[in-house]
Amino acid sequence: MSVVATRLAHAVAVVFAAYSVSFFLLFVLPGDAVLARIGTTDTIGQADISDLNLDALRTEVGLNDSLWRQYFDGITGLLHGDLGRSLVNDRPVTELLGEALPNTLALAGLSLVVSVPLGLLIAVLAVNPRSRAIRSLASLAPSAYVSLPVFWIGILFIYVFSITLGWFPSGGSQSASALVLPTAVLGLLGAAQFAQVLISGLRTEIGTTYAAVTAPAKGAGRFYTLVRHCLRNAAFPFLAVFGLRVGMLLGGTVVIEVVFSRSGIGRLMVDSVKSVDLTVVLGLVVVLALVFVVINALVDIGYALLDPRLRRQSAVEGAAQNQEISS
Amino acid sequence: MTEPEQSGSPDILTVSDLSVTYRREDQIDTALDEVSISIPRGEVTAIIGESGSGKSTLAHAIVRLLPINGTVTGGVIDFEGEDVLLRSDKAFRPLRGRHIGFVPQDPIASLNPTKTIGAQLREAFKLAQSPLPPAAVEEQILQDLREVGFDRPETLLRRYPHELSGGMRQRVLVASAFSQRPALVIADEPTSALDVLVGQDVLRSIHQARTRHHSTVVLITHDLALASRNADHVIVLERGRVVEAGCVSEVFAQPRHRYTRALLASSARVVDGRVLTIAEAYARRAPGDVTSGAVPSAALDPAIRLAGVRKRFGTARHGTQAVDGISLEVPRGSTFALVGESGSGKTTTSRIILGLERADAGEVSVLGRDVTSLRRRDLRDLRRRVQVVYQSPFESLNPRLSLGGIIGEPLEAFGVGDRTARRRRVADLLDLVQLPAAYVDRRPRELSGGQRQRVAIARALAIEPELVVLDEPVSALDATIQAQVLDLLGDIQREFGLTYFLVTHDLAVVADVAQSVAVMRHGRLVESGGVADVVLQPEDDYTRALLAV
Amino acid sequence: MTDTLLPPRLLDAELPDIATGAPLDEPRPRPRRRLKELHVHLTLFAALIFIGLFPSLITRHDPFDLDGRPFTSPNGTYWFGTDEIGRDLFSRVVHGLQISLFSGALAVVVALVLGSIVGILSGLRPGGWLDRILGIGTEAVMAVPSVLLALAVITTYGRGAYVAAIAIGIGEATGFARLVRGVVIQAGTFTFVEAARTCGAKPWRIVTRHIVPNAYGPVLAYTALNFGLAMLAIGSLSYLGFGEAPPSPEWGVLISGGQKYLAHAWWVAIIPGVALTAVVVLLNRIAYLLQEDH
Repeated sequence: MSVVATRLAHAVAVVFAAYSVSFFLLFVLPGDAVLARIGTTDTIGQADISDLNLDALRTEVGLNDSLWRQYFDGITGLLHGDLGRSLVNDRPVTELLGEALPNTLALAGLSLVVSVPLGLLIAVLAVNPRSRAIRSLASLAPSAYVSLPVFWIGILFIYVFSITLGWFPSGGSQSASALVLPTAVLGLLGAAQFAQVLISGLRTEIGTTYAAVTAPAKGAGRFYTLVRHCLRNAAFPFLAVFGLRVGMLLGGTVVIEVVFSRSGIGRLMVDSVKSVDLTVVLGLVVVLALVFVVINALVDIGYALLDPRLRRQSAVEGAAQNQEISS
Repeated sequence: MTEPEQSGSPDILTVSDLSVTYRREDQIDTALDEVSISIPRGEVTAIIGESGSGKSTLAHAIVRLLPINGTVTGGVIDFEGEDVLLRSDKAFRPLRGRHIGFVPQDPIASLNPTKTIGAQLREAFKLAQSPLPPAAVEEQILQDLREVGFDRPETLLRRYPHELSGGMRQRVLVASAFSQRPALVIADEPTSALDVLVGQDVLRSIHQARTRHHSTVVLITHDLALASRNADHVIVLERGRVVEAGCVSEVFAQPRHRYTRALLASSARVVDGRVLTIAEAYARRAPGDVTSGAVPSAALDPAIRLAGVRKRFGTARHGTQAVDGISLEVPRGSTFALVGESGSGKTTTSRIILGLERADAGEVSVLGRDVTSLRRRDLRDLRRRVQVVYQSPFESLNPRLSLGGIIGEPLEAFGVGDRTARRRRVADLLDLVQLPAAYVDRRPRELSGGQRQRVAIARALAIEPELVVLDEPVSALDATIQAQVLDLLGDIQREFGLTYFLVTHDLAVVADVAQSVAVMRHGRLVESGGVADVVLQPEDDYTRALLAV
Repeated sequence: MTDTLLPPRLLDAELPDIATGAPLDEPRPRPRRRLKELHVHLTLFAALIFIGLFPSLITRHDPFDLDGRPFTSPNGTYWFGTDEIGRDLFSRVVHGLQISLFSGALAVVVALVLGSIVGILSGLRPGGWLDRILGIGTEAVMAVPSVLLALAVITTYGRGAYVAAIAIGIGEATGFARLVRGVVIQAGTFTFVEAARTCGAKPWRIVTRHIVPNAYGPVLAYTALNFGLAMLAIGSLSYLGFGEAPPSPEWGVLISGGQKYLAHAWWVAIIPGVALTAVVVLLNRIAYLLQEDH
C-alpha cells in the first residue's frame, strides 16, 4: 500500500513540477509574450492587430501582475481544475482541451493496440529463428524505422497508399478509413520502439544461466525457454521503459495529426502557438504531463506488484546505495 | 526417437578423441584436444583441473550445452552404447533431464528469479514428459527435497530464489537434477561459489541422492581435497588433455604424470594418497618449518587495536549487525589473520580499520591513531602508512592505465619525489614482485590473474607503508599460483618488517602464513590466539569444523 | 542472503558466453572489423560536415534563384528536379544540410552539458535530497513531449531552427541526465576507484583519471544517437511551421512546402526526407558501433 501512496505523491509532484517548468519558460524568462505574439502573427499573417493597445492587452491577460501572483493564480486554478481562458477566443481552456483530446487519445490508443503485438512479433523474430538472415533483418528493421522522420513517413504513406494506389483517404477525422494510414504510421513507430527495447531485454535474458543452462538441462527446447523464461523476465525492463515511450508516442501522434489534417491536440497546439495563446499552451502542457505521469505511475505500481524481486528489498542494499564517492 | 537402454558395459559413458574449439575474435582456441575418458557406472568420478584445463568445457560438451562460439571438431561420445554426437539437436533434447542430469555451478544465477521454487521443480517433470499425475509429482518433489536436507519442504515451494541462501539454492538444484532419476548426473563445480561448510552439505545431498537412485555422478572440480573425499575415480586434465586417470587413492598416492605431481605438491596437504585436514597437515609439519614460533608480544604499541567495535547496516528493525563487539590486537611486524565465511563480518572489519567504513561504537586504533575520530585530511595522511591489497585482481586495477601508472599512483598522489625518482621506484617495485621491467607500459588485460595480483602488491608497497591489509589476496587464483604469491608476500614482510592484517576464509592459508588468528562468525569472534594453539587445540566447534576440511 | 560471496574463479574464463545448444543470439562482429566500419562511417560523417560548412562547393545553382521551370522532374541539369517556383532542389537540399547539422549540434551540446551537470550532481549522492529533487525535475521535463516543450519555448522567443534547437536540447537533456547518473553511480562501485582512494588520490584525480576514462563510452554512443534524434525533432518543428521560415532551405520547410504537390511533383516533399533519413541512419549506426567498442 505504501508503494501506491508514494507513487501517487511522486506523480502529483511531477505534474506540479511540469507546470512550474512550463510557467517558468513561458512567463518568467525574458521575452515579452505580447510582443512575440505580435511578431509571430505578423510573420504568419493572421489577424490584423494594428490598433492593439499593448498595455491594455497585457493588463487584460494578467501579464502585468507580479509573477508570483500569476503563478499562484495558476496553481490554485489548477487545483480547481480551472486552466484559465484562451487569450484568443476567451473560451475556457478545459473546454478546448475537452474537444480536442478524445480524437487524439483515440488515435494514440489504437496505435498502441497495434504496436504492442507487432513489436512482440518482431522481437521474437529477431531472436529465435535459426536463420541468421531473418534474425538480422528483424533486428535491423526497428532501428531503421526509428531513424525515419515521423512526419515524412506519413507523407510517404499518403503518396503511396492514397495518391498512387488510392486505397485510403489522405486526411480527415470522420471516417474510419481515414484512421488507417495514421494508425499504420504510428503503430509501426510504436512497434519499432517496443521491439528495440524487447530485443535488448531478450538478449540479456538469453545469456543468463537459468535460461542458457538450467532450463535446457531439464529438457527445454529453444522456443519454450524463450517464451517461458526469457520473455517473461524481459517484460519487466520493457515495462519500465514503456511509460517513457508513451510520451514519445504522444509527441508523434500530435505531429501526425497535422500531417493528416485531423482534428485533435495537434491542431490545437499549432494554432495556439501561432497566436501565442499562452494559457492554452500551458494547459496543453499540463494535460499531456498528466497523461504521461498517470501512465507511468500505473506502470510503476504494476511493476512493483508483479516483480517478486522487488517485494522485499534488503536494508543492506539500501545502505550500500548510499555510499559516498568523495573521500 | 530411441531411448537409451542400459547397456551391459561397466562404463556408462565413454568419450573418445573428443576435440572442442572456441572461436574468439580472429583466433581459434583449442579447449579439448582428443580427450578420451570413461566413466564407470554407479560410482563417483571427479574431473580435476585448474583454469583453462577444459574440464567445464568437457562437462558442457557431454550435455551439448556449449556456448555459441564452441564447436565439437571431432570424436565420439558414447552414452549407453550410442554415439550421442550423431543425434540432432532436437533428438538430443529428451536425453537431458531424463537420462543425464546437470547441476550448474552458480546457484545465484541458475534459478529464474521470477518463478517460485515449486514452479521450477515442477517444470523438470513437465519438460521430461513425466507420466506421473500432479499429485504424485508434488509428493515426489517434497520427498526429493527432504532427501537433500530440507526439514519442511512444503514451506519452500512457494518461495522465490532470492529468499533462499546460496547453499539452499544449490541443494534445490541438486534435487532438480535428480528428480527424473537420470542414470548419469554431472555436477559442474557445485560448491565453488559456496562457503566450505555449506559446500559440504551440498555434497552430502549429492551422495544421498546418488545412493538412493543408483546414479553415476561426475564431479567437476579444482579442489583436490574435495575430489579426494568424495570421489572413487579421478581424471586429471591439463590444458585440454587428459594427463592421468584412475582410482583416487592410487593416483593421489602415486601420481605418474609430472603435472599431477605438481598439482598435489602445491596443496601440501596430500600425504600417502590422502588429503589431510588442515589440522593434521599443520601438526605434521616439522616445528622449524612453521613460520609462527612464539607469538610476538603485543605489549608495545600494537599496529592495530580494536576494542568493542560494532557496526550495523540498515535500520534497527531491518538490518544486519555486521560487526558485534570485536576486540583484537595485532603486534607490529607480525601477520594476523581474521578468518570467517561470507557474511561473518570480516570484510567490514577490515574496512573499518582502513577508514572506509565508520564504526558505530568501540575503539579503533591503527598505528597508534584513533581512526574513528579522524577527519578526511588526517585519514588521508594515515593512508601513507596503511595500504590495501584487494581480493579481485581483475577489478582492483584500472583497465585504462599502464602498470607504471597503476603502481605509481600512490607516489603521484602523495607527491613523492620527481618524475625520474618515481619511475625508478616503479622499476624497483616491479623487480621486487618479480615482474619484468618491460611490463611497465603494459595494460592489466595483458596479464594473468597472478601477475595482476603482483601488480596490486607492488602498488600497495609503493609508498612504503608499515601496515598492509590483505583482503582475500589469493582466493581468486589457482592453487599453484597461490603458493607463489604467498611466498612473495612472506619474503617482502621479512625484508621490510611489515605488519600484515590478512582477511580470509581459508584456514589452510592461515596455517602457512600467520602467527595469530581470530575466527569470526556472525559478527563475533568465536576464537582467537596464536596459530599453533588455535589449529592444534581449537576450543570452539565452529573452528573445529573449519579445520576438519 | 550471505552464503555465497566467494569470487568467481578463473575457470569461468573458459566459457566466455553461455548459450543453449543452438544459437539463439548472433555472435558479435569481431572488434577489428567493427573498428574499420566505425572509421568508414566517421569519415563519411566528417565529409558531411565539410559539405555543410561549404555547401556551394558541390552545388551548381543558387538555392534561392528561380532559374528553372517549376516542377521539372529530376534530370541532368537539376539532379533533384525543381520545386514549385523553379528553384533547384538539389542545391536547396545541400544548403539545408548546413542548417540541420548545426542546429542539431547545438541541441546535442545543450543536452550533453545540461544533462551531464544534472547527472553528475545526482549520481554523487544517489538517494540524497539533491538526487530526489533533480529526479522530479527531470521527470517533469520528460513528462512533456519534446515537441510541445519546444513549442512552449518558441511561443515566447519566436521561431527559428536555433531556438528550436535549444528547446529540443533541454528536452533531450533528461535522457543524458539519467544516463550520466547511472554511469556515475556504477563508476562509484568499481573496486579500482576505491583502490585509488586508499592510494591517497584526491577526488578530482579520481574523477579525471579513473571514473571518466572508464565511463565515457556509453555517453559518447548516446550523444551520437541523440544527434540524429535532435535533427529529426528540429525537422518536425520546421514542418509544423515553427522552425525556419520560408524561403529557408531547411528540410522540414521543404517537406511541408512540398506536401501540397505530392500528386504531380512527389520529389519536392520526398527527397529532402530521404536526405534527413540518410544522415540519421548514419548517426545511428555510428552510435551502435560506439556502444560495444568502448
